[in-house]
Amino acid sequence: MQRECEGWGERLFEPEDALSENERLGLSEHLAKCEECSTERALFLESWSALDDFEEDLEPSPLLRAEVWERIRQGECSAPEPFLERWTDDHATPWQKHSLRLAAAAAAVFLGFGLGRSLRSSPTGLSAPAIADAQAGGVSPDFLDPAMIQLASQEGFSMELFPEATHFSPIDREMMSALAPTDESRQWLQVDRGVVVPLRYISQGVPRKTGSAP
Amino acid sequence: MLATANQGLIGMTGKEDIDKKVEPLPPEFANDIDLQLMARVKAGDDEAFNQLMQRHERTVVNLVYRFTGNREIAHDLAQEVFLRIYRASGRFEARAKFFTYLYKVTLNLCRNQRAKAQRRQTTSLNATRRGRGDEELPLRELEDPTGSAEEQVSRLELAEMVREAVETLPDQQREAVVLQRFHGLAYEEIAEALNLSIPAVKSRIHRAKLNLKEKLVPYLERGESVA
Repeated sequence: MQRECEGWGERLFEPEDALSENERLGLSEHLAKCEECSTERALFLESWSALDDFEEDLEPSPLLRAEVWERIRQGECSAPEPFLERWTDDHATPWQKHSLRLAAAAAAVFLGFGLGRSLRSSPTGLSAPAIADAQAGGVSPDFLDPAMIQLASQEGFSMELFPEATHFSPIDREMMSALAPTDESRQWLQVDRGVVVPLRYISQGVPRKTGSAP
Repeated sequence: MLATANQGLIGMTGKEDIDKKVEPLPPEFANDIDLQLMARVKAGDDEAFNQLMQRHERTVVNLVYRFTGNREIAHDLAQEVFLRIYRASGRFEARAKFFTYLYKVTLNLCRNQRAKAQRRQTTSLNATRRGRGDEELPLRELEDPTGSAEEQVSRLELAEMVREAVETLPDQQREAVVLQRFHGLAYEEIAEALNLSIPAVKSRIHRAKLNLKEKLVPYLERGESVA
């Protein structure tokens, strides 16, 4: 009997679904004859199934990906190359490249500081100087904000390229709640991103804004 | 939905340009969606990285949580995992399944975090579950709300015992058993992720099972006698 017990070895401590049909039958026959192994196996199965109580599945934060993109944007990651660099290397002349860099820099400042602050008191509109600044910056369709893309794709919108769009459009309340449906994400969008999106982020399901900024 | 978003992005970044840069995968991994995405990330497709994160964020957060028992660390370390993958994407070579790589990065970060925590002599293993504001979170809601109050208390105690039993396993055993029991990896896959032979993995998991049994049986027996 002792030798037969040793023969089962580690399989005595395998869950049922890890055993083959033959193993299950053989083990079952052995357990019927061996009280010691039977007790050991019962205790193992009980403790193994008790682990179900540690099965709690944590829901990832809805901002996890956006925060990763934000850290990438802030320079915590140097590779791969930023999108603008990659795109301009392939598509733009040196002069266009320079202009685009300036435009992107202006847009980042514009988004990050001025608008976020000014629009918190007036979330549905841009001040005329802010619009003028954006237009003067020549913000082009090449400006890409991964965090915004993340938000848009997370909410089920597609993003479209509007080659003619060279300016920003203020985001309205409807689009804000579409892009950022929770209070937490809305606050993040307002405070950290500025309440504005380039025209090309205007998405399916949201009234499309065309033409020049108001 | 993602496909639509992706089409839009590719339109912006130049689908043909990215396609040209995407390195072909070895034939044995040609159908691995994650590796296809990684190849695109390497070629400069940020939306592919977004999709990778979306596919694996839950796995990473829960893997970290089961090693650390701390929600806040789970969120922060999960971010770190993805940052590292993005940072290393330029050097990524498809030599194994993507999940192997993902688990390795995650486990390394968890090990570093545990080492730091031990150096600081923190008591994370016994920590109560706390949220962002350091508020104590309620224990997991019971699946069966119809049980008696005594049964509910007993189950809460058991859940706490189980969590503690897993968290107090030796690191090597815990890593292996968490990957098998909670993430459903086969022995071969665990061996790849942990850089071990299959017999070594089996041995660790076997010892973990015996340990868990030792830790839990007294409580389970007590529960039976009370019932």
